[in-house]
Amino acid sequence: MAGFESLLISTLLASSSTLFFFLSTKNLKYATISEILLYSSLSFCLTSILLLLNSFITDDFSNLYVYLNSRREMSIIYKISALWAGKEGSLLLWNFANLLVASIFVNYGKKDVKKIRAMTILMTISSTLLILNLFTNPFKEIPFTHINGIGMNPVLRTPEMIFHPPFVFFGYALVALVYSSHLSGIQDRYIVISAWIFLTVGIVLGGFWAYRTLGWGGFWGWDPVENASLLPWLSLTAYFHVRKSKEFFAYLALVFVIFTAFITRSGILESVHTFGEDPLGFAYFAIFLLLLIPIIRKWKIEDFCSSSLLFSAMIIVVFLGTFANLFRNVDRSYYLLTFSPLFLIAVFGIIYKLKNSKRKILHLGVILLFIGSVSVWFFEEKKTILLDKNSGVEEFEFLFQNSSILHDGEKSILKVRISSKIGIFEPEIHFYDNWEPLKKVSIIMTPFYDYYVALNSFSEDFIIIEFYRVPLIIFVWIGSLLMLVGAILGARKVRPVF
Amino acid sequence: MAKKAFLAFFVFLALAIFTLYHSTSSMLKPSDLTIMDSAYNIAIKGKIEMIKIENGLSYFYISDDLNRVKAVYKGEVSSGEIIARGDWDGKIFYVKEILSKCHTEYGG
Repeated sequence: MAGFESLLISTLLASSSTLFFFLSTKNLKYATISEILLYSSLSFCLTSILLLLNSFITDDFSNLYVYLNSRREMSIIYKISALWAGKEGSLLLWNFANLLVASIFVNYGKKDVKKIRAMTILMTISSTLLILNLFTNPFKEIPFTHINGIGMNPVLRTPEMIFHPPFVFFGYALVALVYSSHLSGIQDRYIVISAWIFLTVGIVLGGFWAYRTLGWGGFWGWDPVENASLLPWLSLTAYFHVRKSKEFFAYLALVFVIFTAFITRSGILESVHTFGEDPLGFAYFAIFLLLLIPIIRKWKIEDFCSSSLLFSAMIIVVFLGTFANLFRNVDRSYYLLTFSPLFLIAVFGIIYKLKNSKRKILHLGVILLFIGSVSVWFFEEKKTILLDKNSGVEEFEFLFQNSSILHDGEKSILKVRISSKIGIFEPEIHFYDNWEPLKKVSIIMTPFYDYYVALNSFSEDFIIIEFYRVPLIIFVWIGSLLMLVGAILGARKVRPVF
Repeated sequence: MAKKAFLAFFVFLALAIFTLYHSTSSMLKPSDLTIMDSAYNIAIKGKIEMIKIENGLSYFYISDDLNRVKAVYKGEVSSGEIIARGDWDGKIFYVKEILSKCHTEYGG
């Protein structure tokens, strides 16, 4: 239980720090004590994380969260990443990220009233989320100890998922800093670029994971949770492209971060991203409404330029689809018909200005991302093929050669070998006792197409495969990489002003 | 700010809302299907039961608390909660796509 006590102390210290930062806005002599309280809160939050990590590594199944998300057979690296596989642990990680970002911000540069005001707002947000963590406690104990745990969902046991959530949550923490600093009159491009980079890495890793793991041949499924993560990213991207309404988009980014938290944690949606029903989920909705106040107060339509309108249209299109998905099924065609034309207009704008652009690498990345995305969304070919043993299928000369079953303690692995004109495919299905079967896809990459096979059904004599020919997906990955490189190079030229 | 840009913005939004209206479908339960003669391209949410696989086709039932409907799918299904998209002819639900919990397209 020491973990929960640490979290409780961290929350109390953070709340006290908030109060002292507020007092510091009137009298700066309180600033030192509020800073010390913040660092202490960070230390206790880190202690909580380390204690939880220790429970995972030592297979302490008396902890309910460890029991639900870990198993003895899991490798040490997945036991570490299991820490943020559920809503309790991921919120703890988010809180740690908030406190760390706040500590770095307060420690760096001059401490004036503007900064103290920003810290008051940031710490109010951090303390609120810490309080919510006390009610979504990752240190709940169960009265008896299980011999083994249920384990982390196998779809999350991939290298991408080790890094995706930390990047996303540190990105969210930086977005909170963007909100707080702008509300206090500090317009620091360096903070916004940092937040944008973290969110971009998080989104790209998520897309790469979806492509390799989920077996549906795409990198972006317009899933409501994916969309919700795109909204703060679009808001920050808009920030860089507008002159007068920067504050509007800076505030909007955090509003959408909390909106994402609401739809993933309230249980309102069921998705691979959703952590299940949380009675406090609607607390996020209340925070969402509160954060809207500065947007409503400062919104001026006359400040909007054509870039603001373009990004606003993108944001509205994605938001409408995501919101409608809370009540009805939204077909993917909606996004393709509405978002793609806007993306095209944005790319035309980039091409028109590319010659004089200061961010050529980044914008070249966006163009490649557009070509890759549109190719995948509109020109991907999918076929369901039945293959009899040793009798080929004409197209691509598919031939089901053999199948084998392996056991590795926790799961049974069915592997089939399919020869073809393109090469050898070896898709797998992993069978777990506690989980639904997991399809492992087999991908052959070429410069223009990815050939992608997922095993759908099998017997001794035949198999059914899902075959995808995915055009120019490589452009998506190269484009994303160029965007990141361009942004990092750009960030090096910007000096923090805080 | 040019009035034309604002006009284009609002026209686009109107078109987007129109597109959204025509791109959504309600989520039905097996009990809803039992009182319908036919329905095309609908999504149904329920629990898979009694799976039988023959010649690469899966025959099974999708049930809710009150009723169940027969379903057929080209491919393998496993028991549990699903959302399936397909056509209903009054007797059998022909599944075109399964959006299972492990799928990123699984929506509310």
